[in-house]
Amino acid sequence: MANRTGALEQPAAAGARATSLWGDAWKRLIRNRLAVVGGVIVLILFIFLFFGPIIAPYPYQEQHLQDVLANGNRPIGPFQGKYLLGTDNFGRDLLSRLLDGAQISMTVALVVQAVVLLIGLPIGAAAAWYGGRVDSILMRFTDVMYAFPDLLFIILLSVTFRETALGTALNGVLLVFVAIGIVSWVGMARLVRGQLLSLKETEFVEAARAIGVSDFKIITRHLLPNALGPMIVSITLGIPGAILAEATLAYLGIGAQPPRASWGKLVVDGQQYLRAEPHMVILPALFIGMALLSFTFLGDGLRDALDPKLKGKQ
Amino acid sequence: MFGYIVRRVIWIVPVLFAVSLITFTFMHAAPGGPWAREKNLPARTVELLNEKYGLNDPVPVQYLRWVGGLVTGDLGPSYKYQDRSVNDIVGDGIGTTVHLGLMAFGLSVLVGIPLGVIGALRHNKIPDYLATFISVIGIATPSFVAAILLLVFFSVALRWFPTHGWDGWENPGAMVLPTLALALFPIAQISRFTRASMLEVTRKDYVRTAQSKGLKERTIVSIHMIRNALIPVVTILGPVLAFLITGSFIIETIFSVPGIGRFYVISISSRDYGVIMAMTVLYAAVIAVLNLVVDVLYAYIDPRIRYS
Repeated sequence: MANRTGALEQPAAAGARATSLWGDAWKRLIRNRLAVVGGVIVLILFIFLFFGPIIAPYPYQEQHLQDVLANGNRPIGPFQGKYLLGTDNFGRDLLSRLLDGAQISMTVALVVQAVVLLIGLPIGAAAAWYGGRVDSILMRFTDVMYAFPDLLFIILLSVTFRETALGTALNGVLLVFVAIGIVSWVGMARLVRGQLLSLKETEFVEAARAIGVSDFKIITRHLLPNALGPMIVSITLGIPGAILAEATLAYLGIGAQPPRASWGKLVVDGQQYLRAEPHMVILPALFIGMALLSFTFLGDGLRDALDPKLKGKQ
Repeated sequence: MFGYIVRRVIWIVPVLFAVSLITFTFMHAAPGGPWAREKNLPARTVELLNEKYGLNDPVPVQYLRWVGGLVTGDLGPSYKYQDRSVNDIVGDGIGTTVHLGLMAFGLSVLVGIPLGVIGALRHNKIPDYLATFISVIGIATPSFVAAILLLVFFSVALRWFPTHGWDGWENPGAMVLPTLALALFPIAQISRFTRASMLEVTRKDYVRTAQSKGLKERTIVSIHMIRNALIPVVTILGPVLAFLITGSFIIETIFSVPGIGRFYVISISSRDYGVIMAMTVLYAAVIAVLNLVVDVLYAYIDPRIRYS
């Protein structure tokens, strides 16, 4: 949403100072305490993505029914015995399941933004570079995508392709990711277009054209690197929306199928035990909240750090 | 300006047409049909049902028939609720969905904007931290989590509000929790946006001028700062309202609010084609119209913006 209203037309910093620009941005970023905390949590989440199954004390789907029976047939609470964060009603270790959920959520973050880039970047770049009819057709198309009710379209896509190869890949997880990406690329396309439109008129682009550099090379070597800052910010700030959409769909039973443990699914599982064993809902809710906040803080920090308008202030 | 508005209004028609065509195509590409229930119907019955509803016709023919119905205001039959037409289903629920959305919108604006303004005026002081804390909670809590927690705490444990149902103003207590759960995220969104916009305005030359010519603090804040700071905030109010009307189906499901949102998931899984189409196009129209309203409003309140 912010992309539509944000600083689409601001001039980018001059290319010649690229290295010092990134250096300055880095200095501003690490001075921002919230952004640093967000960044550290994001790093930890990425560690969970790659090493989650190794860190997890048990396989996420392994049931320990004996221990649940010994507990009076109730989920085991946190900090009791051998399960650090307790278990669910099947005696599945909650920490291990939360780590599996982290893996799902972080894959969402990566796959969705990859789809957003793959679709949004070429469309935005083509619209800006060729202008005229190409521009108006592509932008009309983004108008249509913009009018789609997001979650409804994701649900429709995931039902339509449920039985295809894409739909069954990774327990149904991949399809939902791609569907979320397909409804999310419009903001990126508009952002890239806005950035490129203003860069296109600069003298270094004119110079590159004059000496006969090809269109493709001008776009990839001269235009996109200069538009990188706002794109990084947009990608980072788009991730919480994608994670939230996946959790919401999992809550509705769409996407990751059992025994996989999406955070949204963990909330559903814990719902019926909420009064007796609140940890089953509180813990996944905390993990969701932490992931949403860390990306938001990091994205805000990146925006402040990369925005040349704020230079020297604060 | 008038010409711009007319062009934008006309443009909504092909957009909705494209949205309906894409939805129709995907919907019919989905495997299975409306008659695939738990107990399998005899093949002959399915055949007769398909015949009756014209589901054996080629998809383009069915689409044209749907468009024809739409133009005459007939949204067709519902396959899941066979005693009701789609017009009935949508007509019964849309009022509640819009009511819930507007309540949540009012709450978000009434809480979000003051929070943002106070946060900016008391920048890095306790009121700012308090306002930031509230918006952090709003960002970090998905609506379904908020709904469950509110339900357990206020309905089950404290018994202050009913756990489900909706009677409009007949029973205001039942509206509290759904509205609160739905508004939590937009409150955070609006207050963050307002705060950032106020902070930017604080640095403007015209504010410094107002201060140096000795205007009262209250005058500067209300006339010079808030009015300018709210201009960009208006641009997100359209998408926020669209989100509240089209995104309430989780809340409707959890609190059993009889709106149309809760039909959507059911209608997709039961291939209730008419309901899917009606809701998608209706929601798309809400989004497109609200975006137009915001763009026009933006030009109206900010004389620096001119469309051509």
